[in-house]
Amino acid sequence: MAVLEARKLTKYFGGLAAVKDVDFQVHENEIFGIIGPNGAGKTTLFNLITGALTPSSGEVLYRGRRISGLRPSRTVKMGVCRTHQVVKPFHKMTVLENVLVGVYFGLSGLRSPARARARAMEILEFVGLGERADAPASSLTIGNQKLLEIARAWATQPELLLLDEVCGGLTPTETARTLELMRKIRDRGVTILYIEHNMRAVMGVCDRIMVLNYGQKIAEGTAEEVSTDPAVIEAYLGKTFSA
Amino acid sequence: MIGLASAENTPRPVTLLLILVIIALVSLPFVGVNPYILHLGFLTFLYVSLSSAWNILGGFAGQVSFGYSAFFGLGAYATGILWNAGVNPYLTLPVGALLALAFSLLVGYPCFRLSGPYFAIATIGIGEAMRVIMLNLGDITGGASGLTMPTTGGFSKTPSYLSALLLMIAVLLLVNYIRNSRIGLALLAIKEDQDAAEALGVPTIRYKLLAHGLGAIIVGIAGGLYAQYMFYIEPNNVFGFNLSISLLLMPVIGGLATLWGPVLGAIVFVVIQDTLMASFPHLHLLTYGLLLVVIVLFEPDGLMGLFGRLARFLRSRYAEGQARAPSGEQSL
Ligand SMILES: Nc1ncnc2c1ncn2[C@@H]1O[C@H](COP(=O)(O)OP(=O)(O)OP(=O)(O)O)[C@@H](O)[C@H]1O
Ligand SMILES: [Mg+2]
Repeated sequence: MAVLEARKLTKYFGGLAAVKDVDFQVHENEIFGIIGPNGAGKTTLFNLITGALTPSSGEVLYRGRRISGLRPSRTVKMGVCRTHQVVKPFHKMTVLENVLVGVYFGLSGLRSPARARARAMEILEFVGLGERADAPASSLTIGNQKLLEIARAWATQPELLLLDEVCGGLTPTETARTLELMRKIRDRGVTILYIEHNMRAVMGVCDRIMVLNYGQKIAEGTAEEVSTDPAVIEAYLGKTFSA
Repeated sequence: MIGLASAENTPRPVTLLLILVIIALVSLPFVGVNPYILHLGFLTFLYVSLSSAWNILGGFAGQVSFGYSAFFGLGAYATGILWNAGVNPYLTLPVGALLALAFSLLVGYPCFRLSGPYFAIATIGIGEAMRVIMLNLGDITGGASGLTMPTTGGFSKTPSYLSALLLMIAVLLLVNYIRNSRIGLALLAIKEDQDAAEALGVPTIRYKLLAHGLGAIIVGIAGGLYAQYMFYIEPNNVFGFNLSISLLLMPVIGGLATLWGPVLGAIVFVVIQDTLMASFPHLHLLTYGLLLVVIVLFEPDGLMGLFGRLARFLRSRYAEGQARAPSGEQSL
């Protein structure tokens, strides 16, 4: 059974179809890439999967159970967690406290403060933010704030992790580090959905890739298949270049 | 930053000091102190409880409500009506608390789907609607002429003083528990970014309902104690918008999302009311207004923030003095 399945998923904002009739399946333990030009509907797709938005029609199934329409906190309790493209740290908390929120309210929901703190610290070490544990979240560089997004989501112990442009705005070294982290997370048995603008990053790390354009799926396949697909080239480069 | 990660607890000497203060406060009525002191004590304990109650949802979770007088009024009238019907006044307190809790859930369930200023605006409407409804339920509430309690209980202030003290201690213990637990962390996360909190598994609506409900229970009990103490209640008073504003002002002045801020705010409030109200009936409003402007402009963390700054300043001066000391010796 697919870990995640979208069926005719559609979201209208007024007259605009941000996501339209999108079908796809994500399999156990794969890294599934989602690419597409600006405004293609990628983030909206994440919002529909995690429950931040309710679909206009269609549905999302997680391991066969419908999750579209549930509140995000419910989907977290089922093992689905996401990061935000525009980072949303709790500025006035420390880095450790940010992660504690995920530890306390995630899938297993630790209750003992001592164990929760130890677990949060472990996670910070895992993503490479251990030394910043007691720093205010607002003091982090953008690169580290992106790492904190991953750390907090990872803290909820997801089985399906949704990453929204976690390499956006990063230096090549930081990007390489983040991709390495993604592979490490996948090696722990997690399935990953990965939205990215940075083509090289996506191509390097994803098992399969889906391409969205104007809310619709225009291609799906391996990096090679997708990058040679005429419809994809047209969407990215415009009609004039496709000939 | 907020002390959760470091498990910051009240240091032992402070705990000891607090226990001594409580013992002193409890024994006050039994050493023949001036009844006026007991009166001020009652008011202070009541206001600290109210201020701390507002702080749970308003301070920690950042959800500003202008409607808490509804809980106070419900508590006051539950006590007034039942006491008049012959029920023991202390047994009326849980009834008022439950009524207030039920009302908080009724209001919170739809309103907590609203975000930002819309929640605050909705609470103004609901608070005022309650006042008007109660004014017009003359048969039950006595309308504008109010409700008078049976005065069989004698005129000793001691029972009310002790009840209010007990309520205050319970509330402070509760807030202390909240701020050191995952509940406090959830509420602070909601204040900072509700969507991020929800995305990390915090059931945000449920936690706001919890914070609102705890506040309502406290304010409802406080309303009942007020009715027991005053022997007279009236909708314009116990359901009044003024009261809602006072509840909000105290924690804002003292320092939101802290344990001691609302306490300080309430003490300042009672002192201002006691010293200014009698001689200049309207000056206290002006004073609150000024305090509020100063706080909003210069010290959003209230008096607690001010004290924090002062402490840091003194500490740095002290450290400077320490550093300079050796060179001072040399010049001798
Ligand atoms: N809450 C909203 N209300 C109205 N329109 C929206 C909303 N969210 C997204 N949109 C619109 O829906 C379309 C898809 O937006 P979305 O953010 O999903 O794109 P995206 O593929 O993530 O783009 P980017 O690569 O820039 O992040 C855009 O036209 C956007 O303006
Ligand atoms: Mg996006």
